[in-house]
Amino acid sequence: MDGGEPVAIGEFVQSLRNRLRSDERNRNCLVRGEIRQWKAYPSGHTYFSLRDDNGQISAVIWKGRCRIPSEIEEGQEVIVLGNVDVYAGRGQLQLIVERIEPIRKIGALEQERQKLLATLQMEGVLDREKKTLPLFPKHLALITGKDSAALADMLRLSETRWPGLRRTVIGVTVQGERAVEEITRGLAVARHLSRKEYAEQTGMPPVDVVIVGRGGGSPEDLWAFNLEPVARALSTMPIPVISAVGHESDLLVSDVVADIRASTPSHAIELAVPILDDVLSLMVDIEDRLHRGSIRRFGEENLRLQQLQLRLRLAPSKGLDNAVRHLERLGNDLNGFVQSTIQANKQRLAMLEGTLLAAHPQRVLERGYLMTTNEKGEVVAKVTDLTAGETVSLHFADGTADANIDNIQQREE
Amino acid sequence: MTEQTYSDALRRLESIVAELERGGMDLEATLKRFEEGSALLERCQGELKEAEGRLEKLRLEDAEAMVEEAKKE
Repeated sequence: MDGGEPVAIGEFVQSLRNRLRSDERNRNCLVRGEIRQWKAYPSGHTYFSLRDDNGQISAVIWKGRCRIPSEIEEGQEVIVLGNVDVYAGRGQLQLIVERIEPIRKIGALEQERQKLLATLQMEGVLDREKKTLPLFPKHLALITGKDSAALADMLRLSETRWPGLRRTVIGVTVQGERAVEEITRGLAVARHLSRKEYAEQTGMPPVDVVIVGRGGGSPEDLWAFNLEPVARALSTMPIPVISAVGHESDLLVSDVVADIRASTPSHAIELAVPILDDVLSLMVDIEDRLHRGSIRRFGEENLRLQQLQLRLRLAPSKGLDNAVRHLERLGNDLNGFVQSTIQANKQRLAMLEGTLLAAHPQRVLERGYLMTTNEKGEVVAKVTDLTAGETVSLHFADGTADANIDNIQQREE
Repeated sequence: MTEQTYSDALRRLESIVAELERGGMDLEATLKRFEEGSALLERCQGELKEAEGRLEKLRLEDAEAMVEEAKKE
C-alpha cells in the first residue's frame, strides 16, 4: 500500500454511492426478477428483495412513489424501473423503485388452468363428496420433495405430535417439467399402498391418509399442482388426500380437487395427526367415567340388597309377632264366644229345667196318677206287660205301696 | 363389528358413558353397558397401538419397484 491517509469507511461508502448515482447507466434501469420478502411498513415504505437464481438486490418503494398493482406478492415475477443507490448506513446496494409491474407470463397456462377447473366442475369432480380424515392415521403417506425442508418439517412435527406413527415418504420432484408426472406417479403408489391386499401382504395397516404438497414458491414453481394428471389422480384416491402446497395466492387446482386443503405441509400434519397424549387422556377420562357411572349404580344396587337383607333378617320374627298377635286376638274372640255360648246354654238349661220340672212325674203323681214298676223295678206302662198274680209297686206322690195283680182287662180298640 | 372404525367406537363409548351417568337404569342394563363399554375401550386401545410403525423414506422409483414386486406375488 502506497502513501496517503486511510479513508474513513463512512466517507468511502459515501463516495462510492456518489459515483454510482452519478453514472447514468444506474438510472432508469429496467430490471426483471422475482419478489421475495415483500414487506410494507407502517411508515408507508415497502421493502423487498428482487432476485433470480444468479443474484439479487434489495429494493424499496418509497411511500407514494408509485402505484403498487394488487397482483404484486411474494414470488411474483415483476419488471421494475428504478435507480441504483447505496444505503450508506448498511453499505447496502439498493434499487429505488420508480415503477413496478407484474409479468403476466403465465397467461397461456392460466387459461389452461381455468379451462381445467371448468371441466372438473362440469364433470362434478369438484362437487363430489369429499372424504373425511380418520381421527388418527394408522399409516400416513407423504408425497413431497425428497430431502426438502417441507418434508423435514412434516416428519419432525408428526413425530412430536404422535411419536412412533407409521409413515411412508414417497420423494418426488415438485417443480419443473418432471414434477407433474412424478407427483401423479407418487399418488398412484399411495393408492396402491392403501389397498387391503397390499396391506395383507406386508402385514401392516394400509395407507389411510395421504399428504401431497410442498413448501412455498412462485406460481411457476407450483404449477404442476394445477395440471390435469395431478387433478385426476387426486379425485380418484380411495382414501382422504390433503393438498398441502404453501401459497397464499389464487386457488390451486389441487387445493380445489383434494379432499382437504392445508395452507402448508406443517398445517397438513396438524390436520391429519392428533396429539397422542390428548387421545390417551381422552381414553383415560372415558374409562374413569365408565367405571364411576357403573360403580354408582352397583353401589345403589348393593344398598338395596343390604336393605333387603336387613328386612329378611327381621321378617320371620316380624311374621311370628303378627301371627302371635293374631292368635291372641282369636283367642280373645274365642273366649268371648265361649262365654256367651255358655251363658246362653245356661239359660236354655234353666228353661229346660223348668219345663222338665213341670213335667216331672211327681207333679203327675200329685195329680192322682200312679207310676207302676214291676219287681225288676221297670216301669210298667201297659197291662200286656203284666201277668196275674205278679207283685207290682205302686208309686204315689207321697210314697209307694205294693199290690197283687188280679184281673187284667185290656181295653178294646 | 370388524369394520367399525375407531371414531364409531368412540362415539358409542361416549353415548354409553352418558347413559350410565344419567342413571336410572336397572342392574342388568347397567351391567350390559359396563361390559360393552369395557370391550370398546379395549378395542380403541388396540386401534391406537396399530398406528405404531416405522418411518419409511422412499424415492419414487424405489416405491414403484416395491409395488411392482408385490403385484407379482
